[in-house]
Amino acid sequence: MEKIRLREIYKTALISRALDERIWMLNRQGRAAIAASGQGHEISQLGCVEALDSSRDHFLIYYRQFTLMLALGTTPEEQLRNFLAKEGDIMSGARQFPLHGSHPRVDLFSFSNVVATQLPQAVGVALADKMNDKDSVTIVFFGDGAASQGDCHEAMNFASIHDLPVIFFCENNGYAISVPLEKQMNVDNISSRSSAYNIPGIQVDGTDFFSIYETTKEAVDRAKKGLGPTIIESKVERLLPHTTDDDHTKYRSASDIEHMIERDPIPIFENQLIDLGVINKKDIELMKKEVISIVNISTDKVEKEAFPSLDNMLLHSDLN
Amino acid sequence: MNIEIELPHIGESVTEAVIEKWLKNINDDVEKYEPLLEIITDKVSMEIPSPYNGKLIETLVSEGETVGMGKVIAVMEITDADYIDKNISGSIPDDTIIGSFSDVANVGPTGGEFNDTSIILPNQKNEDFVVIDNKPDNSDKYSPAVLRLAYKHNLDLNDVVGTGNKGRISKIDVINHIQRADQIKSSDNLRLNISDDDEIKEPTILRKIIATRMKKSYSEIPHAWTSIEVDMTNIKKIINLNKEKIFSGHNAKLTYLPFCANAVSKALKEHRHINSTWLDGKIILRKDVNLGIAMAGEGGLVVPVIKKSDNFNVLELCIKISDLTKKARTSKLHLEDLESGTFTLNNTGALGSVIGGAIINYPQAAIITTESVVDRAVVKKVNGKEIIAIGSIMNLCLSFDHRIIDGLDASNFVQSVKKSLESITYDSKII
Repeated sequence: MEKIRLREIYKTALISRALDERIWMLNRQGRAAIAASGQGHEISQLGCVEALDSSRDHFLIYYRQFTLMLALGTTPEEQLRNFLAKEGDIMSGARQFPLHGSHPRVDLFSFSNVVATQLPQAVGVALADKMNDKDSVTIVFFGDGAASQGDCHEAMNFASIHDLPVIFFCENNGYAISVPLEKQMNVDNISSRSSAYNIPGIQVDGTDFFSIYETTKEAVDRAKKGLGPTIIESKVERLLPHTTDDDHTKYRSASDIEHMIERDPIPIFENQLIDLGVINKKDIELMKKEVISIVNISTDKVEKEAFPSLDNMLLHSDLN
Repeated sequence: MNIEIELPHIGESVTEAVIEKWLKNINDDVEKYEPLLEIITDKVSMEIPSPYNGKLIETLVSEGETVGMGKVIAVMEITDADYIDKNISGSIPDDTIIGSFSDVANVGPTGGEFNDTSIILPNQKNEDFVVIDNKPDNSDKYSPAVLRLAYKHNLDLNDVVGTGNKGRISKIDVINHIQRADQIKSSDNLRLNISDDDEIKEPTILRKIIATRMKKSYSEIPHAWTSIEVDMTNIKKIINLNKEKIFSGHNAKLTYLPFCANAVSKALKEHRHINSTWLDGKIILRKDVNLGIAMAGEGGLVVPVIKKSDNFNVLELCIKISDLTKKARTSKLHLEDLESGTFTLNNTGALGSVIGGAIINYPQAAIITTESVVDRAVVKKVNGKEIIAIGSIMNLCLSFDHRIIDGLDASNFVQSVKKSLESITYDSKII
């Protein structure tokens, strides 16, 4: 991969982290109603997107994929408008939960608040592409909690029967809100279920950009050759509580939290890039400064924007 | 310009918070997003970042106070350019906003209790939008849970005060109404006796939790009580001889407490009924001895637990207790420090108390208090002759669950602790 491209990706990671932290603070100031932070998932999402072609492929996402949305071309301002529920929010016109709704410019499908519904929908999209002889690959993301839903089995089963060009990408952070993995399933790896569908299931360290990229690339190649779906299980950490309304110290031990912080993927990626000679300490310092100013300028601008007016409250709704 | 800072509306179904700590002093410069104060809600503890660049001019609520969300808590001086008018919006008059963050319906990923407080929408398409006024609107709008409760208790719902949006009656309102009706007779006289000079105070969240747990323990567990005297003379001498060495060697303060914790833990291993729980008509005898030690934390009572405390000698317990005390004072206890206690020791002697009837730490079977060690004239037998000597005497008091433990068992247990403490001599290898 080219050095200049890796620098861009690193910068996206920094923007994502700074923006995520800012949104958390805006919640603590009472300005953003709720946020589900993606901190800890950033590098996994960036490695994965890099292996796909956003102009050709389809993405069905879930609520912890802030970084992925930035990587697909949404802007910090758009994200803030969405979290602060300002007039002109693209996702849902400020009518929905943050990150819910669709984003036509970057071709993001609308997704439901109901966990795991995106999986059968993605399989439908992949089926349509196959029937229409399209060259696209569909990737659908979900957490470990969604893997325990019935929808997940139906989607994987159907996709494998019909060799559909779909990638099931599980971001396994070990917690479904407060339920740890061992209380959710009797296997260690979600990817091990692949044998039941006779498809490949690969488990990969979600803090390692390059492994994620390679693994996704192979799955894309398989899908394009008509060899069918792949399950990728990316082991990541959820660095913050489930949402701004949650307190994970009530159900995670101190040692668990300490261990998780060591697996923060951004410093890990940073060290990889330093070793490869892509960036040095001075670059990092400058980039971090630039990123903070991007986030500050965006926040100041969006904070001053108006909320939607009552006059068009029913716009976009079935009642209009 | 000076601007009032409100306690922000944060989170689902949260309406108030306790001010834990101001992180800035008056006249401090504060940067936007810099932590301004810490608060505790019934869901989470959190830092509140400053909404502006500027200077903290005044704090209007003190630490420990409970404040409703949206209340003004401080005044900051900011530059005009930084000011953000909260009310910029299309044209939403205040009284037609659908609830507020504090009472908005909870349907998020965290779930929560669903209160349907949404604005009433026209039933059919293309009808003119109905603007709702702020009058209570209870017409036929009772939830099934509310109707069922009202039917069961033969209530007229017109008598119930609704606290939901637009005065809607929730299940909680009905339950509160029923409880109030029960209490009203007993508390009528009390109510009449409140004068204008008396202060009515809202308890903090921690206070409310303590109140609920104490009430549960005292109303469910039939408490009985016993007390015994223990001669601590030898232990006092051992402490005086060793405390400096232990402080310099281990940075821990040697007191009577680790000796008592050690004796109690050993006795609990022998007297398994004392280390037990009454559960659904069965007695659960605990395998491990996990000794809880009651302490005054920064915000109130906390009970950190030493797991398998019978495995440790006095010195090890001394170090562990010192460590937990430091953590309790600085609010650094983790959840795992407070979990799985099977018995509680309360060192009330540290407060100067000589006798005490403690409330059992629910759902345990008993609680022991170690009282002040007091020098007294005591009769001792030396070489077969009775003499009067100075003895350091401590009372041990035990409150116990009489469903599980009879007076005899309780006495045997405290006797066992007493024997263990009194058998310590200067040459005992304790430390």
